[in-house]
Amino acid sequence: MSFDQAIDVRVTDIEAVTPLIKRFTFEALNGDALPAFSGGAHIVVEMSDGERIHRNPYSLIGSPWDNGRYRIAVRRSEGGRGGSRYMHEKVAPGARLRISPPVNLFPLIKTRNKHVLIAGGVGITPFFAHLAELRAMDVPHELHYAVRSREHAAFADELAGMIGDRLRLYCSEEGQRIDFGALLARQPLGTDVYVCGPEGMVEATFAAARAAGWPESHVHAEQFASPPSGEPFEAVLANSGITVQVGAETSLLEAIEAAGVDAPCLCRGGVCGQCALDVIECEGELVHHDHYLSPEERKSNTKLMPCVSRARGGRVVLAL
Amino acid sequence: MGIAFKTNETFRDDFVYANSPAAIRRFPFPFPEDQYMYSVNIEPHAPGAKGSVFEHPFDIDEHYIGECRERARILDSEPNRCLALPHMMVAQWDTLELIMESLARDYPAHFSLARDGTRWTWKNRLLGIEQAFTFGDATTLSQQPMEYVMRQTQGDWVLMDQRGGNLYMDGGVVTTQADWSLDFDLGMNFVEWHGPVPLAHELGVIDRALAFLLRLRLGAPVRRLNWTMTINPRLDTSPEHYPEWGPDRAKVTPDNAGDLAHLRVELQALFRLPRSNAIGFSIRCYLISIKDLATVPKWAMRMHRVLKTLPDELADYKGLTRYRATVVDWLSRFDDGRELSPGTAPV
Repeated sequence: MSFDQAIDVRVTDIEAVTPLIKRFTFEALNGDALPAFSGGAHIVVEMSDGERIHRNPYSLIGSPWDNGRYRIAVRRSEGGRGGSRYMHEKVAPGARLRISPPVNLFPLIKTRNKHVLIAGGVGITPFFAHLAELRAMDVPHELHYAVRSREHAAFADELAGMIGDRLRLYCSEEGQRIDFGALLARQPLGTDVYVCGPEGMVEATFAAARAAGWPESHVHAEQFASPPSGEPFEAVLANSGITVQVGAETSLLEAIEAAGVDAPCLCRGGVCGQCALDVIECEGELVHHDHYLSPEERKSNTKLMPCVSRARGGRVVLAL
Repeated sequence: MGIAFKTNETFRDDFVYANSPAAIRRFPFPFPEDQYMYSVNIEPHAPGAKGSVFEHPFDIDEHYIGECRERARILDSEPNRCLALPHMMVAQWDTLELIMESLARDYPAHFSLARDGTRWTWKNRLLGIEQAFTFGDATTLSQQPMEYVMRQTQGDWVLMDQRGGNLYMDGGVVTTQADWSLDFDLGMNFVEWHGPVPLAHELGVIDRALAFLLRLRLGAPVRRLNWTMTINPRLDTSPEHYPEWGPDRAKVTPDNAGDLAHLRVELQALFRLPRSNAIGFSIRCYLISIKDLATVPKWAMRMHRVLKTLPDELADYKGLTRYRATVVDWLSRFDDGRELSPGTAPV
């Protein structure tokens, strides 16, 4: 996200939902209503953590028809790059943050006859707003929600209040597992499936859909992957005349931003294509993690998406 | 503010229409160079110079009352000029909110909007309307929300649903169009409805424009200008009514070319809509007779050169072929061949 459209917000409420998840409520600092949003939309939250700036995407939860406030749920991640720890440890009610306007890369396909939502853990977040939309549209839908244990299922009570028996909860500690094959096999034609959760869950959903002969256009995923780590490398920003060192746990985009260079970007998840950079020279190899570039573009070694992709085995020279 | 609204304009039959000197000065002349070719000429739809057509997201000008009357007349007799597929209802409310908020903020002397939760009150002093309604409840308005607000807005509006990496024309209100039909295009995707545009596909313009629009952000609308020509100040040059306006193109003579031929410029703006994630596309049409245009010497010279050098495929596509040479001849008296400053400004 380029922060040219950034909105200053104040944290008005923080609530511990599960041992690992906190829910934050934001209101605009200037008192205006925050922009309306659509189901599946996310914002990017900017956190100034000493020298370091974290920018993490979070789905907006709640109904798109509630005006004015935003709510997000943040799962504390010990192994991550520190953004979620910052939100859990250093952000208190009254704190000020900067956020991007909402962007939707995970919308409902409103022309379909039925919608099956599959969530794992904190991957439930985009579905709150989807469910509000589905109920308003009055179309068939069901939610399959997998958690580790009852202790981690606090959102399930709220969801049951919203959608009743359209919710099916699976606790892995109690041996309950989603049978992806059976779930997709019994859906009527014209159904779409949406999955948000750990990589294994996303892969299982896609594999089951393929096996059942579903067209790919009916299968949708939002993955909450933080930028993949890798080996440290050096990036030369040719137009800016700057060389940045990219650490193992830092993304190339974050390193570029930390050097004070304004790089266009939007989703920070390798999906939107906004940040794609031209590669002028590459000593080693490019490691692509995006979902945007075509196979030809990847092979050509001339494009790189710095939000998720990296270089390995030497320096890379970029047109930035 | 101080717009002197005309009250008796017509855009058919007797064609009571003229641009005041102020309207000529603010006309969005679209040619920055002596030759015209396609480009993805998109820029942020950010507030432009005071008094210009770019000052506000939705421009209101001296023709407002006549244009609203023309729209009402068309919609009353041809309901299929306003269409929306069922899944676009949220986008209809987004449309109403965007336009009412914009007009009330930018033209407080003429429009106001009071919001109390979902209970809204809209006032349009130019048309003498005061309407209380419930936002989100279409039964509280006399028309569906998009039609309601578009009957009070200059320019056409198209709703594009975004899904599966494409945009689908799933609704709109289209009564001031340059020879295309919403009824015909409804449900088509972006590539399909641009099918007839010559050269653009080969140049990759359509694919690039689509890739750009799929990433259009909330609060960051964009705009471009497009143009064609129309005989008489006729807003409704729809395919449905071709028999009424098509023959006009044979009536252009060396004597009447400056009066009959009009440059037609569309200010096209694209807005990401918040609750529906759809894209709203406003197509605001400005008409100026070649004679009025020629009161600005630079524009007369540039128009002469653009028309003269326009590729034949484009002239055919825009429907200019039959009278282009006559208008070029008419304009040639203004063009002494001097070098013109780049850009669209009058001097």
